[in-house]
Amino acid sequence: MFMIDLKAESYYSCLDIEPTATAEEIRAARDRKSTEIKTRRLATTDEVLRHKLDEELTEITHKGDALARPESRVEYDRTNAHLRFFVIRPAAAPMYVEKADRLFVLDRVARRFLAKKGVDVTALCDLYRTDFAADEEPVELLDRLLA
Amino acid sequence: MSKIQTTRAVPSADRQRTRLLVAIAKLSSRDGNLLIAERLALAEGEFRLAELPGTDPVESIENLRRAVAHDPIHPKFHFHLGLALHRTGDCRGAVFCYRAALQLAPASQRTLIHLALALTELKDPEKKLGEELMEALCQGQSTKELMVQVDDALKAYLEPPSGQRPQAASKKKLESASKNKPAAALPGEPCHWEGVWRVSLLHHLARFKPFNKQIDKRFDHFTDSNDAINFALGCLQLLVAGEPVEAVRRRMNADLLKSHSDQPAMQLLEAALRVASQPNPQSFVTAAVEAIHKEELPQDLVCWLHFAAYGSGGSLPAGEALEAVELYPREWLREPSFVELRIAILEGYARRAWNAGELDLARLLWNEVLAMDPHRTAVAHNLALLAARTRSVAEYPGAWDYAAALRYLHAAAAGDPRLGLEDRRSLHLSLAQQVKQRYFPAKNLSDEAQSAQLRAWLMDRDALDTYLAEWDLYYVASRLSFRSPVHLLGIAKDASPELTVFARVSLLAKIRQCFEGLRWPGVKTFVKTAEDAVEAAFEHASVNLERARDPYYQQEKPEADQLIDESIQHCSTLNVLLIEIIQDDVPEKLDLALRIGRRLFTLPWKVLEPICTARGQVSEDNKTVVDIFERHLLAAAAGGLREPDNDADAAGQLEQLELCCRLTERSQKETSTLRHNLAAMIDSAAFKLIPEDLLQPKDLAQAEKFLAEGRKALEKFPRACGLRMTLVKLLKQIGDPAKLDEAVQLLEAGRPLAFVDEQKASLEETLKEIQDAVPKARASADIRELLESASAEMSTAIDELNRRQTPEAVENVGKAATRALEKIDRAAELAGKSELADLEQQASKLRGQIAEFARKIRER
Repeated sequence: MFMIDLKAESYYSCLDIEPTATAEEIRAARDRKSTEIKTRRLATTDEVLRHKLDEELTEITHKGDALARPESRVEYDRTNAHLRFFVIRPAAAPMYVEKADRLFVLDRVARRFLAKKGVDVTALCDLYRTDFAADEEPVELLDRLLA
Repeated sequence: MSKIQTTRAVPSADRQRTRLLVAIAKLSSRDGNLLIAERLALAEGEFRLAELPGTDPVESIENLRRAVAHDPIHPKFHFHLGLALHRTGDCRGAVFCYRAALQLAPASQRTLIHLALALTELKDPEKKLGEELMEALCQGQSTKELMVQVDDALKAYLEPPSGQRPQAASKKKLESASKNKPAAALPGEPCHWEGVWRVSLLHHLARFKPFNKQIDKRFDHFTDSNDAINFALGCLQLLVAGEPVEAVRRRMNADLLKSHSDQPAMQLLEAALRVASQPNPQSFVTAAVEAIHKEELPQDLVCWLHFAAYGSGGSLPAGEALEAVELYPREWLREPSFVELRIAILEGYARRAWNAGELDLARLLWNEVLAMDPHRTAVAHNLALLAARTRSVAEYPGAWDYAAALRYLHAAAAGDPRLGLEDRRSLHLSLAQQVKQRYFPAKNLSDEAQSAQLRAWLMDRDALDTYLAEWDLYYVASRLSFRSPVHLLGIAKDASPELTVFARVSLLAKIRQCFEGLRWPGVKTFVKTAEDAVEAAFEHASVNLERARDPYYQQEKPEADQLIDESIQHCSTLNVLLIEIIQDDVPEKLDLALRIGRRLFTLPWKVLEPICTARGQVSEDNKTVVDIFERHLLAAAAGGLREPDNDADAAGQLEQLELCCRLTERSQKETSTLRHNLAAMIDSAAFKLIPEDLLQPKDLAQAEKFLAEGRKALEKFPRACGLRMTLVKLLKQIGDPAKLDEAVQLLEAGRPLAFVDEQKASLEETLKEIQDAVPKARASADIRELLESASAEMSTAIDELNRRQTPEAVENVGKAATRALEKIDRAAELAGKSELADLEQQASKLRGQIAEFARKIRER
């Protein structure tokens, strides 16, 4: 049976960051990893190990640069859609997940609640309005037909 | 009271709708060009229809589109179309419409703020642009420069450099652009549209780290304009945004609120603060229940305050947090607000358990959520990932199947194939990509290593099937995601009517192929809605005017081009697999070739082939990609043909071969050769069942033995046409009527089983020959019998005479001779009729002998 592999290696996993990381986080991770490798390289005299660390450094730099550049990151993400898809999702109502959703939803709830109490509250913006009668304009020909 | 109002409002809206529809029909009924007045009336009519309460959002968008088409210079129609798109989540479309409205009415602050809102719904850099625009509106700064950036962003959508997202314009570019372009929007005065303060306060609070100074400014504005309601609501939002109760209370000390303490908004805020400041779950619930009973707080707000205090983010263990919810009155727990609260708590703890590696607890909690709401896709998705993480063979297939099925069920239930489409697209692409990444070899590998990896892919049938099915589902989802009819069908804007018809048929076939055999609930309804979308696109694409007007064509072109690139790349992957089947020793080549071929050749090749050819994707002998794919498919199929083990095996191979042949329409000659090859293999398998020493019978006895063995072999391999014909020839050679009858039976039984044209022809010809020969053979047998009977009768009479030389014996010989002569005459007559000259001659000779003998006896 074919099973997806949640631990499949990716540029992100090599840099120890999430696929949702920002460009700054990517650059920071790349630099941190590079510094680690350089420190280890300086601490050894073993030529074989130094060569291996050189290769590691090249690889980390390449991967970090590829993700740090927006164009190449878009391309990488497009060909690795699973990295962003195979993640746990919040399943609660948006109000419990996103601050912005919560603010807009509860604002509407509060306004509706106050309107029921007879308070004259304006909608937050036109997106939440349903009555646009004020935007109608008289058009003689149409109004004659409707009369 | 409210009920009465509602029941009155509905028929009124319906009446209004009917009247508007009649008016629109009347206005549009006139042939030829419409007068300007008629166009304006039609536009207003469509607008009013769109804004009527109860109008379906999709219908509303269509009405507004028509309004824009009738009167493209009224900003109102563009603005409302933007609003309608914005509400349905098409923020990019909304940005275009708001921008169009602003070009007609550059000073409309109402439009500007909605443009800013739509921009903030997009990703950076547009999101940032939206925030800056909103800020500029609040500050009363000029938005001219920002509008130039908006225009740049929109332009970049229309002409994106190699399909990339637009970048924020550089300052230098911005300056030069603003010098050259006319002022786009505001004269640079403070925003008069009050909504901007309300909206921008929420946007500031929604930030990860809100700027206190900016928030203060908004509250100052509410104070300056003596707006106690929005001040109180602002404080409530501070609480909702996570400000501590004390901080909110400090802000409430403002004089404005003190003087409006009897305002319902203030009472709402006070109640919320009172409930939020309770020290433990029990007192919290008691206070909340009381507030709801007294109608001081809405349920949704209470639920959020509960979650904020005692949800999964707190220190309570999961059990205690759930027990706290149970303290609310039982009947309330069935209300949607409390169901969502319970789900939020369960789900929050489930995610905590997942992160802590407590997978059994996570599974338990998510299953609990599914029991409350079996249609929550995110939970099904999480359980599928959990099955993957635990590598549970028992749970994995069911969990993934359910997660996919739910996604289609939602779209089917809504009757809209575009609902959740991006999610489905990502699902199928992710699965297809993961298979490919696991098996498709990197370019830097050696030939042997590449071949080994491809072989491993072909051997993992489940992985191959997953890749083939998921990629096709991704392709169909991608096609359905286009709003432009030509992109949905996958054709060029100037495609001929024939090609448009072909694209429609091809896409419909692909849709059916993708979903055949799937037993997901609602899948048939989904297929129907998808087919309807294709038909609607076809209808639009068939009208030249509609094609020319297509507002999404340019916008979606980069994605459409990308899908074509991906399709061609996918086909090239499949071609690599076919080559591997040809070159490597993989089992069940025919089956593999067919699986790949079925997916490969149901793509719209009439559209893709010219694109590939234009890109130079042709072979050295100038064959197109389709020719090459056909050649490879047949070669792969040919490699899979083998001597069958039995008839079922032969039938299976033949069925697969026929399906392959049907896919490769251009390679008639090659498909014919393959059929011959399979026929030869079936014959070979059948002949192997007959002992070698009987294969060339030397006498009748051996022939009979061969026939017996041949019959047995034919029973096992009824499709062995060569063996059948050999048996028939032998039977014909023996020639007796029973054998000929058997030959006829063999040929008639072989007729429906023959699958090679030459075999069919040969069978028919031989059958005709034998059917023609049967009457002669029967006559010949009858004549021989008559002649033998005549001879036997005479012999008996002569023997009797030789034993007893009596007059009676002599008389008997005479009588026998008379009877024998009668028989011989009958035989001669029959031979004459059947044109059997040798038998006629034989009869004549025998007649002469008997007549001579009879004469001699009479003389004696």
